[in-house]
Amino acid sequence: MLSAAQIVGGVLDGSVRAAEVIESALQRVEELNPKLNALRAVYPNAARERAAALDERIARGEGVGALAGVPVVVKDNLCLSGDYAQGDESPITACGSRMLANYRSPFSATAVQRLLDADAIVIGTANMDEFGMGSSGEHCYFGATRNPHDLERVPGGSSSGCAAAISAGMGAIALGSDTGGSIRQPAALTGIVGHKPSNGRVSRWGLVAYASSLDCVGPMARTVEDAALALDVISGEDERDSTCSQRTAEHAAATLGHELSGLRIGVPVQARDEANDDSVNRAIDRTIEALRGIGADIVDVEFRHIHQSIPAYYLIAPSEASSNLARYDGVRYGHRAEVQDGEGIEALMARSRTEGFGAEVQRRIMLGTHALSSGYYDAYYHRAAKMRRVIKRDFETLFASDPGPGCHAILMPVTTGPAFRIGEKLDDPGAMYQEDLYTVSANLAGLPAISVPAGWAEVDGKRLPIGMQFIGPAFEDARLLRIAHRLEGAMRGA
Amino acid sequence: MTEAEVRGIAQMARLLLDDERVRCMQTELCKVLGWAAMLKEVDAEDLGEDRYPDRVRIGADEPGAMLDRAALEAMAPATDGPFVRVPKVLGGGGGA
Repeated sequence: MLSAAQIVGGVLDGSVRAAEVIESALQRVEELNPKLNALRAVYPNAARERAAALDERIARGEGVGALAGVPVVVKDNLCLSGDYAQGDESPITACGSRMLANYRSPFSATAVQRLLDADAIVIGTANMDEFGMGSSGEHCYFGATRNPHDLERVPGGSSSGCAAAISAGMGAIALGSDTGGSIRQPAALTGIVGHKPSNGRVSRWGLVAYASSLDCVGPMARTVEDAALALDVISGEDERDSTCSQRTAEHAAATLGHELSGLRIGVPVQARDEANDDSVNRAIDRTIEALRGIGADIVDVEFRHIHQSIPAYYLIAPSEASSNLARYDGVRYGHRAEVQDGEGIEALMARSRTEGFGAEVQRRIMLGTHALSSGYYDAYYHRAAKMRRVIKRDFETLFASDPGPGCHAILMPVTTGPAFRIGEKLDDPGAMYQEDLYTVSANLAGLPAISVPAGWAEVDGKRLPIGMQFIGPAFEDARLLRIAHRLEGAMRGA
Repeated sequence: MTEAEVRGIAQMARLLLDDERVRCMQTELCKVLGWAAMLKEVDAEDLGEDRYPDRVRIGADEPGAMLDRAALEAMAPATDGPFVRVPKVLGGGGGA
């Protein structure tokens, strides 16, 4: 599979036709999806039709969009209009859940529509951990997704299908979502690039809500350049999302090659947590060496409250989820249980929710319900919300100069180790939650963060990818991508 | 957290848990809630609660576009003319 940049260039200069690109992607899907279970639904007829129409427009000399001919996949929590796939089965937006297994959205999410308006071609809907709740790709009503690098291992989550699809070359760009690391972590475990934008950079209209103050829509791709291309297309003001910033963001793709003089990268001492596998610590060293090679100044810093970020996240996110998921009651849409004789509406709601939600979703709803309940709100939610402010302040201190180290970005691992085996952590939710140690802080602080491939771990005779992430100041996404692009080049040459 | 408390949370959350599930949930919730003790170690009294978002655009108080009624009716599990059909609300809510 060519990169998105190569596809757009080839389609525009006539060296490749969109129809050929899409056919190649669909062949990969047919060959690999049965093993990976990356895509829950595929739209071959719609994709071929759009590709043919695009080729005709190009032949007539008409202008086309910035992602012309690029095959993309969208995560199952991003609304894709039921009208999209004429000639295929009408798209369902299921969020990896039985609760929405029959839900057809009447509209497409803003981010998805912007991809379509840029002439990208959606070829499929990607599997995910149910409602975004999971870090492995195993909590999906439609079955677990597998890691293309080792089919016995997880691809990470919750954007599991997106990561597996792009890593396996089924598409060039995926649109995922990141609430606590759900773009970055699966990107790291499958060896691709995943960018969580600054909160407010990309509209959440049409993203099925998990935790609204933490949710972000973002791109996943095999190169930083492709992620930047996608970010530019999906970013920007949207009157349908009141939390979407009106601020004009710096163009990411066009500025990738710009100068990065005086670059200061902070590396927290806490990045070498005792939980880290040796492969992660070696990846940190390798990345630092590569950064020094491109002229960056590496600064040891303290991220004092990194361990408190886990309880803060796992109180705030479930609390918001318990509120957001209250709408799924079997009344107006979604799964409705069979009503038993003599039962009333409360029983219908409880039965529908119990049947419709998987175990992990139920666990988080229970956590959040308790954390927000009378008598417990102060001890749990209120305290977590204050810790969120502390973590934000920690980052502000690291980015500030005079006083302060004046870091342009913070370097941290994405995970404590390479991909684990399917089933390994299913019985221990606490262990699964600890996987998010390095990722949730960026969500709590609303900051942009990007995961880039940074080496390999040799495990059981297989090479498994390791990723590193950069976290930057709010709305400095373009500079973050520039840093990642420079590192990508340096690592490729290493 | 007692089993009775777990059942109380489940009722508020509109979830049905059998006895085994209640016991599992009790263990799992206690473990995660136990982490909250780490938050007490940090002095955050001088900080206010973080409120997100810190910027919200307030739109004009005018009706906007509505979703297509036919599409919404098609989504409903059961309808009766223009209404969504549901079981009765019984007594104090019909309890699960």
